[in-house]
Amino acid sequence: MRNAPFVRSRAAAVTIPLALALVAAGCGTRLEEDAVRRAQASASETRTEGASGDTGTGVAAAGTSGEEGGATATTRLVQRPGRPDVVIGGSTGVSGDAIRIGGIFPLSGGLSALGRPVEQAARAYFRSVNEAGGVNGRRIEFIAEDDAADPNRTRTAAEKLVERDRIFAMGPSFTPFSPDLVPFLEGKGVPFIGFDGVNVEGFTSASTVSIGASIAPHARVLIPYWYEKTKAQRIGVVYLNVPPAISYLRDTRDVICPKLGCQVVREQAVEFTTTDYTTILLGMQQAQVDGIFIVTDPASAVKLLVQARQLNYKPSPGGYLGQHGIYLDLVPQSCGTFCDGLLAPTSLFPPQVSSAATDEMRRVVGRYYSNVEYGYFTELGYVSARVLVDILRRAGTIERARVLDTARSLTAYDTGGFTNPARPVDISPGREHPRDMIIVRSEGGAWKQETGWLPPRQF
Amino acid sequence: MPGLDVLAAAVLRGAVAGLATGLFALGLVVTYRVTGVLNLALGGVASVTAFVLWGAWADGPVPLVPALVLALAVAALLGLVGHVVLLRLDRSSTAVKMVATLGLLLVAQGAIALVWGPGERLLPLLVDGGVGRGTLRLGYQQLLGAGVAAATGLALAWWARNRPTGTAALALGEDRAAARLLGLPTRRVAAGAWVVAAVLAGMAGVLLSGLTVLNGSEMTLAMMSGLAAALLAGFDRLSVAVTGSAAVGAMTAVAGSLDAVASVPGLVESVALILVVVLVVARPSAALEGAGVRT
Repeated sequence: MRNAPFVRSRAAAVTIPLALALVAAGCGTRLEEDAVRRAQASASETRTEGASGDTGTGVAAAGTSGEEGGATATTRLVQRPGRPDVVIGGSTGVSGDAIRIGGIFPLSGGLSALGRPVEQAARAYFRSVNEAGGVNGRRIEFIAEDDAADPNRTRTAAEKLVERDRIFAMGPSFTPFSPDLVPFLEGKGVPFIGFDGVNVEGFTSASTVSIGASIAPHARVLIPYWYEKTKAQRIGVVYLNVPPAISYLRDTRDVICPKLGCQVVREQAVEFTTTDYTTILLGMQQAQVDGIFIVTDPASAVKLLVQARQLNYKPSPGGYLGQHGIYLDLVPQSCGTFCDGLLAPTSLFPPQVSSAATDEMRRVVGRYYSNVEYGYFTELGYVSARVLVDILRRAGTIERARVLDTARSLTAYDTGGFTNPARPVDISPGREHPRDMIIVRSEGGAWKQETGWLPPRQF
Repeated sequence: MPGLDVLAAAVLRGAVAGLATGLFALGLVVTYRVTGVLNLALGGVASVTAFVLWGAWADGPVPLVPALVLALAVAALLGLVGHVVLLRLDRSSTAVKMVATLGLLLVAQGAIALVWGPGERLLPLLVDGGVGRGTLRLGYQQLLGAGVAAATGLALAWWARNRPTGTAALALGEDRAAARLLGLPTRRVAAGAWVVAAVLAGMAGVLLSGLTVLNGSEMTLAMMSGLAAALLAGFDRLSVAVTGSAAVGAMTAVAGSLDAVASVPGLVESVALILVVVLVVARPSAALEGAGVRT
């Protein structure tokens, strides 16, 4: 039967691995959701801004540089310790009837389960604002780019938005694996209003407004709460092999647990492509962990929990614990009652619980998208869009320095019930502000509110 | 270093889990032996089939059995479409045909995003629960997948060896010109091979998707293990394709049990791919010796 070889030369040694590499690359490829939005970057071109200038102090120096689209354009010198100063100013991206806002999200690839709802929620809010007359008569042109959670693509997307689309500001975005986005925008003098907060560099930028809380407060509410509730001392950690997840692991292992009395006894890195969680879970079982902390994206968490359910393995007494990245409807739906007791933190009021704020969000988002997964990051997209529009309205004149001045004044901001109403949040750029958290719990295949607002513990 | 009992359990568990990917291996071998095409589109067919089942059953009103029939019918249809597309490349080289199947895979992934959206979905397990204890617990769905793959492999091997149609199909793979001279309906046989391979991939999609998330790419990753097994089988022996899948699964599970391997991010996930590369580089003619289709 076997006469001639399929491959007669070593060319096959090249062809097959090449094909495999192409297949692997194809694994992350999906069609763009909406080609129409790509066409939004139309031609209403504006003027290019000046670059850096003289040394200044803080963000105080200002001057008038011209007018554009009916708005007065002032410039402001921003001093950045250890880095060149930049001029924040002008009204690039603003025309008589529109304000161009950019956003970057992982709409394809392994993190798309988190990224898409963020983009949908932000876009829905902007659409509702436009339908109600826009911002002082100007509609929001929201240009969303897909970076597939690849830092190189994030940079390319940012360059495209800033240099080709000439956005006025970067708006709601979700770029947890791309720590250089903030310095890039800062260097270009483009305000970033809607940073996700995952990487802490956003909190040191004088032109970045962070709506989300960083990893530290999430971990410092979640782990102590879990520890006190379950007394789980031997902890296993399954983490996605990316910097934010590693930060979570390190904070838990090196800072929080030593103070509490728990110990990370087994840690296992996973990739988006990991499929065999059964072996990982059995390794945890052998290590006799009391609980497993899942620090992954939602899709990886689903794979882990589905296979845990098949194994009927739930470590005791701690069960499963998730960081805020797994807080998405998809996760408890995947494992039903098996996941009862799974905890996760959020710095925004849980969208699964009815309140004036969350009802508003569901009403607005539901008007445009019928099948949105809700979770922390979904809400973050919505609230970021909401805050951006509010800041633009408060600024009156749509000019970058003016908008940042307005943001700088928001030291006790009322989010309308999305954050702890008893403690208005400081969203002024340039430093990290404390955020209270709520713990949610999986029950019967859905997220329920477990606690009220809890402040992060000091370690 | 884990104990021997742990490693033995990993071998058994991995073999059972790997067997289901043998459906991909069978599909790859069948298509290759009959048509000379390395059909990388099978990952996409598996995903589409699982999505159809999800849409009809999990997210729709159709009971499981009719939904399964519908999903596998769609898989068969996709196989036929693949056959028609590749027919136009009949005189092209093996490499061109392989790239064409890669194109079909990407089209399938794109179609999934267009029809069902790019979000993740959850396909419920066809059978919940499991048997065994501790490190030897196996899910019923895994056992079902292993059983289906083993039974299908045996049936196909028997058919290829003992039935005139099987012999004829493989004769087509041996020498198409001679098969034509003997009066074999070569196009119909090739179309049949595409349909059978697509249905096998569809079965894999249905059985494996419940153990992971449902999206456009997970089944393509699963197909990698099937590809490694098909290479082990030299794209020839159907029974080896199935047992090879079990071997790849066992190797992956053992690798995951070894701390030295598991602590290197991405290494466990690469076991099947590494095996493919090793086989191709070390023994290209032996590893890839196939049905002898000349292109």
